[in-house]
Amino acid sequence: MNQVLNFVSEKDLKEFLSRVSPGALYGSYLRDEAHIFGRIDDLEKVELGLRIARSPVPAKTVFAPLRERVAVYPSRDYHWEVEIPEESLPTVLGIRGCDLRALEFLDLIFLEDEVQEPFYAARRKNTVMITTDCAEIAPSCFCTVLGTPPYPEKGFDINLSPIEAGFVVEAGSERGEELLAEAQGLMREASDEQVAQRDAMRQKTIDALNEQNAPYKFDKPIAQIVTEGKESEKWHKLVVPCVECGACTHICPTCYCFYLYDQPTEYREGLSERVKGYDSCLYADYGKMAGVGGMKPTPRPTLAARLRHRFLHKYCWAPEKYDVFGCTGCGRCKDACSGAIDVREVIKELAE
Amino acid sequence: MKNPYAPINAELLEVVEETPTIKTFALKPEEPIEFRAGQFVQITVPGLGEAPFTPSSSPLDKEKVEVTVLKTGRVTDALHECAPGEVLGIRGPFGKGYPLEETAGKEVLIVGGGVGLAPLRALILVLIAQPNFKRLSIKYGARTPDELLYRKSYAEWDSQEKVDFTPTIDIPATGWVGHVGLVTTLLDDLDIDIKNSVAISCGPEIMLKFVTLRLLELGYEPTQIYLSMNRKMSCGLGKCGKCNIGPYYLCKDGPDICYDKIKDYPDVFG
Ligand SMILES: Cc1cc2nc3c(=O)[nH]c(=O)nc-3n(C[C@H](O)[C@H](O)[C@H](O)COP(=O)(O)OP(=O)(O)OC[C@H]3O[C@@H](n4cnc5c(N)ncnc54)[C@H](O)[C@@H]3O)c2cc1C
Ligand code: SF4
Ligand code: SF4
Ligand code: FES
Repeated sequence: MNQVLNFVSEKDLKEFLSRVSPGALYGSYLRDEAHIFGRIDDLEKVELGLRIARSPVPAKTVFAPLRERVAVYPSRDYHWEVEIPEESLPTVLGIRGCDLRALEFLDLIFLEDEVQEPFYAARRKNTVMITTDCAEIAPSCFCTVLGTPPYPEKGFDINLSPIEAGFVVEAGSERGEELLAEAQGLMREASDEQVAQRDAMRQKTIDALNEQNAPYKFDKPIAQIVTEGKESEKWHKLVVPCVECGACTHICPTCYCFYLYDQPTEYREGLSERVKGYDSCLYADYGKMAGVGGMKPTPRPTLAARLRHRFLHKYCWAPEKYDVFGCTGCGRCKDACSGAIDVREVIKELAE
Repeated sequence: MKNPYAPINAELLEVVEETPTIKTFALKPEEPIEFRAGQFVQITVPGLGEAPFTPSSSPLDKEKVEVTVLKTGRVTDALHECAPGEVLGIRGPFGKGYPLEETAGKEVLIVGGGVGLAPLRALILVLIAQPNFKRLSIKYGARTPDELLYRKSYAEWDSQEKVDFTPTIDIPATGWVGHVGLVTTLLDDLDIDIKNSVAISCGPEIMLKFVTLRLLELGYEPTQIYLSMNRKMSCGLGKCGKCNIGPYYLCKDGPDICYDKIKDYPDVFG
């Protein structure tokens, strides 16, 4: 890509954003001091969240919402275009490196094969991705432990790196360059000093991550630790704080499991609809099948087996199949867990 | 692109009562559904939900799709209430199907249990129609004589050249003169050239487990054993995550999968 880096000042940022985002805007902002990732109705009024640590809710929720209608039947005219009109090109603003990598992971599942997940595919295809570097981190962040940096490297249209009094702007795609052309007057080429500031900010974040994750330096690859821990008795102890709420998987940017259920629809009288909602492999019902004499067999009857399954999927089978972890190191699962189960601690425990 | 979640309408043509708890439903989809033996479909009971079934009719019959269904829960209870003329929904086919490319010149051993003979019937019907195998030996078990599926077909299958069919029941019953004992006991005196054999099994998970163990004892290699694995399935598209064994999704890489591929992953037989 074009290596020219630009600079936009804090003062011009909102004007810049309104020029480069022609349609609806979603992203990182503050509401009553809470960091939200969602629809931004009034860019003028909102306080953006581009200089703080990642939001508690992942960017995934914009592309694969918690619950959505996916079919109406019997009917032939219902399509995802009904829910996701092709012409509007929404922008998602403030996606962190981890969340962008999470979307690239979801792409491997939802966009692979002849049959794509059409709702995700439509949103993913039509969305302008404006990403940002992490100038701040959350205490649970550990992306660097997994070998990935706290900033996006590829896969964005435009990346914004927070520095003093503004942002270094980088185009990552042709679409990004075209959009930047709309904001010509608001940018100038970044000075060497500004580029140096960006690099220093990045290094500072990496240093902070390394420091906070010093206890999690493993001498073996994580995939090997978890694979070798497969038969460990420790799972029974590790799972004790778990109350099977599923918060960890619901908040996770890379978890993609869902279930389908049918109900009467408001779309048109007399028809039924099929709804898709997040599922969790921690739930006992997740794998339960119909069985002889009313028994409901499941491949993983114990909670310990289900927790192990979550780890094996993320750290062993995902790399086996796709060559990347099914975890970005965002740490959200720990923050969401009522038992504060920390994946880093689980891996450390297995490694000991 | 078609909406992969939307069922197409399928008229229920006929319902056959096979056993007290199992019925076969013949469906005529609005658009023909071409499937390979072992591939499965999702049948929708409108407004209620869907459940996966592997067609039991011959894939060569392009006119209709038959599924043989055990009444065992929400969707299957409702299905059992349906009468000819009603319109249901169907999606599919999904999965790879049985390894027909593995049967040529081989001694094919089929081991079925209970309603597990339903998917196997589709396989048996194509194999008999296109007999590329050296031999086809079918072992099938149910709890009682009442619960044996497709009883009228046994004599016809058994009389085919190169084909033998042996049923068994778990518990002795008056009037039953055939074999008694779990289906694994039919494997005790196999006169099969194991080196040149491929075994294909479908049935309850516990049966699959003991059949697999027995076959391994007899000298089958894991690469010679194909199992129709039971997992909960929702999307059928390799997206919803439920049906995995290790990195495999059974709705895509199965449901009939070579034991060699899955044997080292945890929780294979629950
Ligand atoms: C590939 C495949 C092929 C199958 N073929 C046949 C067949 O030919 N004949 C037959 O009688 N049965 C078959 N089954 C099992 C059948 O799908 C279940 O008995 C059925 O889903 C039970 O649904 P229910 O609503 O009556 O039960 P409930 O226990 O009320 O289940 C509720 C829901 O859970 C899901 N579910 C429950 N059990 C299973 C299961 N074993 N697999 C997947 N989803 C499940 C379904 O969506 C179901 O509607 C097959 C299963 C699979 C995975
Ligand atoms: S968030 Fe914690 S308590 Fe809830 S299911 Fe996950 S591990 Fe268990
Ligand atoms: S498993 Fe936890 S740390 Fe890893 S991506 Fe999911 S929420 Fe983030
Ligand atoms: S049924 Fe959804 S992934 Fe297999």
